[in-house]
Amino acid sequence: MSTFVARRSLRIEQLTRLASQSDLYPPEIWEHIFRHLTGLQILRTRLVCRRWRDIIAGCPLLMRKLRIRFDNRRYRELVDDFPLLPITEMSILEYSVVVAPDWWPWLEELTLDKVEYDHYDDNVYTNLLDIFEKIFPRLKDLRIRKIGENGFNVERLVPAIRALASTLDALEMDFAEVNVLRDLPELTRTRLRRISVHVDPYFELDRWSRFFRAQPQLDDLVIFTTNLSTNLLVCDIGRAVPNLKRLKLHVTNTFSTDFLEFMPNLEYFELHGEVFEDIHLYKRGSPRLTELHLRDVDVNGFWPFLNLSPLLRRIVLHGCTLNFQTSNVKALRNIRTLEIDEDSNVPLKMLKALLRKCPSLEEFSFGCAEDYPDAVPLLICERLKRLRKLSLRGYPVTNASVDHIVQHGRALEEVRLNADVMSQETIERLLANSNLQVWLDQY
Amino acid sequence: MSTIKLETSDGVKFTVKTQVAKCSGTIRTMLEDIGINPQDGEAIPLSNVHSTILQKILVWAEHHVDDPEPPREDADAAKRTDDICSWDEDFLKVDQRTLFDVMLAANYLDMKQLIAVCCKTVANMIKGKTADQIRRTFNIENDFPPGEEDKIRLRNQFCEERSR
Repeated sequence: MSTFVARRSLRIEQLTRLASQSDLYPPEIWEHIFRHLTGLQILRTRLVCRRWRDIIAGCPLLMRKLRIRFDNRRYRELVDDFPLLPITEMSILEYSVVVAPDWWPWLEELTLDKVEYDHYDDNVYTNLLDIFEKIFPRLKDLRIRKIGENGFNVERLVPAIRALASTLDALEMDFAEVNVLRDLPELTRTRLRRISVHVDPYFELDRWSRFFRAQPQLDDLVIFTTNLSTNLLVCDIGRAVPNLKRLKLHVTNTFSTDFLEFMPNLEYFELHGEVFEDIHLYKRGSPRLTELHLRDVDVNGFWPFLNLSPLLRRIVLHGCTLNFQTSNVKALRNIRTLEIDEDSNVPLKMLKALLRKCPSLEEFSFGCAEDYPDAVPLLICERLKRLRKLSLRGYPVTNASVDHIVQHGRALEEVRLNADVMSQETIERLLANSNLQVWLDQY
Repeated sequence: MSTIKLETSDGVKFTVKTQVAKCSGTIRTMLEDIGINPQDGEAIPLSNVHSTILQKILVWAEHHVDDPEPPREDADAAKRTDDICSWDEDFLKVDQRTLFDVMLAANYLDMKQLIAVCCKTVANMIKGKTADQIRRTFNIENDFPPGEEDKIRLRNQFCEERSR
């Protein structure tokens, strides 16, 4: 009897072993399962067995969770015949490309950051740039950072980009290299959706205007410039590319944003100055704008702009000065997020006006370190009934203010406060509030 | 309430509410597009599903019959695995063989929500484990030639999580 039992349990064990072998299930099932893993878990799962390794490498959706990164730190470990996974994104950082890489037909996004190309002997090494379109036949998104400094053969860059004309739709070049800048506007056959570029130095308005006129599909544009005539260029871009949705400008001079007149479809606008440049917001507003970011500028024409930008939901001010300007605008009921950081300067009078005009705020972050006694928390309690997230990190919040905030902020979900002058009792009471996610900073 | 008959691979016949049976995209297509008429009393053959598994699946379908249509998912989006409802969690506390059989049958019957919840359950069995622990969990043999595993490990070092 006992032998029989033992044998029977052995059989069941064998059966379950056989049954749970992963080979029994079709690869689609495993792909489905693996799609719920993160990129790093997928890498680990590759180590389990040959079948899993092959299923993972054969599934483009899984490969899209990963990117390849070569950097100088790991240079020595690189094996020569590196058989690459069909991953679509790769970045190469501070790296010397000595041997031209193999054909990477699947690669769609490539970042070259401080890459050098050592061609000691032209007879032996092929220039990476000369065979760009052969090794990356599907490249859609090319980002080149700081390569002009390191002996990369810049003259060949523009022809290389030109050769990618049929696939490339996004180009980023965060460096100012004379040769490339002179030739880049000649790329009139490349149709780009996203461009990020320094237009200095040797900026020639005519050529750049011609270049942008050849880019009707453009919807996302970043321009770095110090040139005074940029305003004209941006107006030209607006006329040439009426569908532009995102615009980010870096400027170093007094600047008027009247070009917004020509960009009726803009949804996102970001403007960076250097040190408190005076900027004038366009007095007729921006009809479809939902996000406005301003950094390191003195803002003029704030109210009229807001008043005529009816879809605006989010305003972010970093290092900005917002002097008091009288407002006779109606309430701005669409604005949900207002973020003003510690480097900004907003007088109390202006802040009061802002909070009065934006009654629907759901997220308010205020970093100014000025002495605003308890005025800000009181104003918030009085006016912002829909506030969900509040951050006041610039100055210490008193016990009385904390009580006010907790009592009146019925919709509050998250607060972040400077706790320097809070009593231990207040802190404990705050942390005990189960409806509230609380972050306290002590300096 | 209208019912239809289903016949499993082992010849067992089930009488099922039409509404519950329609949780299966495969059966829905048969009824609506191909025009199989269930009033004839003829059973729909499900030649890939065993009766023990169909029984289980019908319990699931009965419970979820009134669920709203799930939103269409972006294939690239990160998929959560911590959102399995507690009823499903209990429902899938079965041995691995049954879990996979349910998943395969759900695949054949085109029941997306059930497939998803099975996949999440298995994914949770993979998460946080080393390759060796995963092998033990699923009883998989390490069939790499010597040295190959280290090579993959080395190549993995050049890969990282994509941020977008």
